[in-house]
Amino acid sequence: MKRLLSTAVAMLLSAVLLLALVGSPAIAQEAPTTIRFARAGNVQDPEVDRILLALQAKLNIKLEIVSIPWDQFPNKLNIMVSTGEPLDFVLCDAGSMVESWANDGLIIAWDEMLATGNYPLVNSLVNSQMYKNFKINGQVYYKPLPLVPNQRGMLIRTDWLQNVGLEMPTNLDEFYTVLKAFVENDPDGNGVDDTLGIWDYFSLPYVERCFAINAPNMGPNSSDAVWVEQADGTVTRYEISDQNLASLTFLRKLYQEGLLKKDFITTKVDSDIGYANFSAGKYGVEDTSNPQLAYETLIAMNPDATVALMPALEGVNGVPANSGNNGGSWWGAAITSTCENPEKVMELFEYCLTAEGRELTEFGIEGIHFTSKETVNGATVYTMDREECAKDWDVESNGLMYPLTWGAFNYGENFYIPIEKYDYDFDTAYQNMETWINMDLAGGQFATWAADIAKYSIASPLLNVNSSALQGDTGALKSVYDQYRLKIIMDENVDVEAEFAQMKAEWLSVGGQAVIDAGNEYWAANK
Amino acid sequence: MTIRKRSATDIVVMGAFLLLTLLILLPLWYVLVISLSTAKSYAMDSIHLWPRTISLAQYKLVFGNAEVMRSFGVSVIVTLAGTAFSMLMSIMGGYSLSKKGMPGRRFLLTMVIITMFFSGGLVPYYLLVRNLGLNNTFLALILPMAINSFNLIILKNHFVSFPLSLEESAKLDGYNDVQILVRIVVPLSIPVIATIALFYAVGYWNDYFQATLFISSNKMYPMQVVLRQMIIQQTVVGLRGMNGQTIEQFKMACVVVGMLPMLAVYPFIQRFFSKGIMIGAIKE
Repeated sequence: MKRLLSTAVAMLLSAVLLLALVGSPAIAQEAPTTIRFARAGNVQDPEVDRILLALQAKLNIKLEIVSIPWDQFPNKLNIMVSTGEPLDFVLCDAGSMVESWANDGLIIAWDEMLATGNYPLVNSLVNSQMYKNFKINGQVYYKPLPLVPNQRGMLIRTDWLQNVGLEMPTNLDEFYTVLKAFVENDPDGNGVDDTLGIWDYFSLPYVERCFAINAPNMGPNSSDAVWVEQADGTVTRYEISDQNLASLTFLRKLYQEGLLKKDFITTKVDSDIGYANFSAGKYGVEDTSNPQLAYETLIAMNPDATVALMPALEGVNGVPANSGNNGGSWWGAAITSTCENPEKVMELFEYCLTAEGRELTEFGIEGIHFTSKETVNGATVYTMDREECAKDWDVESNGLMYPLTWGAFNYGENFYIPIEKYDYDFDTAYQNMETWINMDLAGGQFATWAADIAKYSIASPLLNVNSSALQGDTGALKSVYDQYRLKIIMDENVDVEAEFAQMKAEWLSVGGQAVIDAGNEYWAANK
Repeated sequence: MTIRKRSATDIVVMGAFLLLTLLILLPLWYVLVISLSTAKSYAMDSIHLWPRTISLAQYKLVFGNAEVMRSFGVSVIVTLAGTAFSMLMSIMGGYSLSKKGMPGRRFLLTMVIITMFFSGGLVPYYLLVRNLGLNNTFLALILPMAINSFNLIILKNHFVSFPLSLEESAKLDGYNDVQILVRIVVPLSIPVIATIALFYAVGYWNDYFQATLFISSNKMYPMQVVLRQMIIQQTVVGLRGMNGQTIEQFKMACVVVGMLPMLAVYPFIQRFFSKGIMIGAIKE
């Protein structure tokens, strides 16, 4: 009897233990899906970073980030993808490399996954007017990370404007008058002829934008292949367009009259020397992608200086100069063929496009990284806890901006694109992007500049089409164009129209004609 | 004592060398001047031929920057370990190949020479290192560069020119081949060994490509990778204490700090240099 009782108790305990095991969360919950991706210059550790830990817990994933130095980034990435390195997705520029990966089967198409309807935010983005041309062979392989159009703006010395008795310029004529006064009317009042008009870099994009939407070289990763719609409904490349002739003529005038930085051809984008020269009070206007940094640099040396972000100039065709839009993207994500669970990667992309996901990956966890948020002048301002932020990232290097705010799962910093609010119409949502900033930036002069610029966004013809037929032999075409462009701007003895006609003929003869034909064929089919 | 009068040719040659010296020194001087400039003196001076003010603030920042100092440490470790390993391999390899009785000597030598002219290509190279499990290890920065064929052949030619009688007499004293190499050959080859060691050290110190290819962690980047990122990609914006006024000075200070170790080593090796580089060049 005693033995029977012991056996019964033992069986009962075993059954309880078995039931407990079966019902335990550890067994019920699936193991997290590992998502391994490559990003240049990553400094965050998914095993300790609380934001990444929260993201992983939310989606039941385990992130592994392969960091690649900025230097040699495309080469290394290409080697990794080409050799079948086990990655789930990569972040990279669009273009021929991604196109060849798609053609070689190294990255996968998303169309079937998008057709399930499970990823409406991703779907609205990749099929938007702005980004639809990133498709390869008619299929989606790549999700660009949206930025502000051009991600650039012009800072102007308003104290100089006051000193020379002029108002903020609104069109090209007024802009010319202001630059001339900055050079000739001693705007700094020191009695010495030591001031210049505009600091800009090689491509002089701001002025070009007054003449054509999406003029070349306007922003990071903008394609050299920029197209302009003509009166007869066909398209042509910007280089040989009438708009470019007008632009070059204006730039020539600035250069020949000493209003433009003389050595602009050697200037790099956002050069440190640019900040230094502007801060030293040598120039009245500076082209920059970081107006806050330029401003802080200026007032550190000239505490009495005042500046403003120059509003969009009215272009020759009535379109604001800022309206040029390179697609407003920098980098994008492609899912590699070595990915074992692409749906999970899509789930990650989808979540990061939601307001909740964006807030998490930009400002962190409420109650930890930020304590409150409020609306100030139309912007959502986050009050950050600097001490808590410092536990997860280097705030001395990055400020209060989380390092993976940009260039990881999502898009540019300091704004949110409310796709859901605009019924999944990404293009309209983009033009109505919301400013989301931390309290440090809210005190700056340029808190809403991203949203201010985005209002003018217009997609130009064939924007983001990366077909090699439409690019042509970029080296040969660019070589011809650059050579004549500089001659037209800098050579005082040149006949502008004759030189432009000669450039056009030569450009067409080195492969340009085939490019124009291919462009019009594509335009007719996809307009 | 007669002093030869300098001819016009001498003066032209001296002038040409003076110009060449200036061409080499001027960029270094330019870098040094900017690194010592204050924000204001840098902004006001567009030529930077002479420091208007001298400030060590940027050097303080460099030495206070954890990323720069960590990468400096990585470079020192890789350079010291790499140079030691390369010398060990090259001396042993060069000495073996210098022995005419070594089986397969001609074949092995041909294999070594072939690598001087042909490469397997970047993708196979990457695959090899990855499949050996060396990615993200210091070994990936050392093993692929362990033997430089050119250096190996210089050493081999030097060892070939060694008097055979010296080794024979050592053998009579009971030395085996390893003892002969360690106790006789190496001590008598210090000039060439010092020179080759310098070649290797400079190679390891300056290399950034291996790290960009095989290292995926910021904590393991050598200094040249960090420096290149700063200079090429403008990644110093936002570093501790940085703003638009002092970025250029900070970068230049980093460049000076990056150059210092090699500049410091050079004078000590130089006395061997002219002698060492010629040894093994001609076989009599």
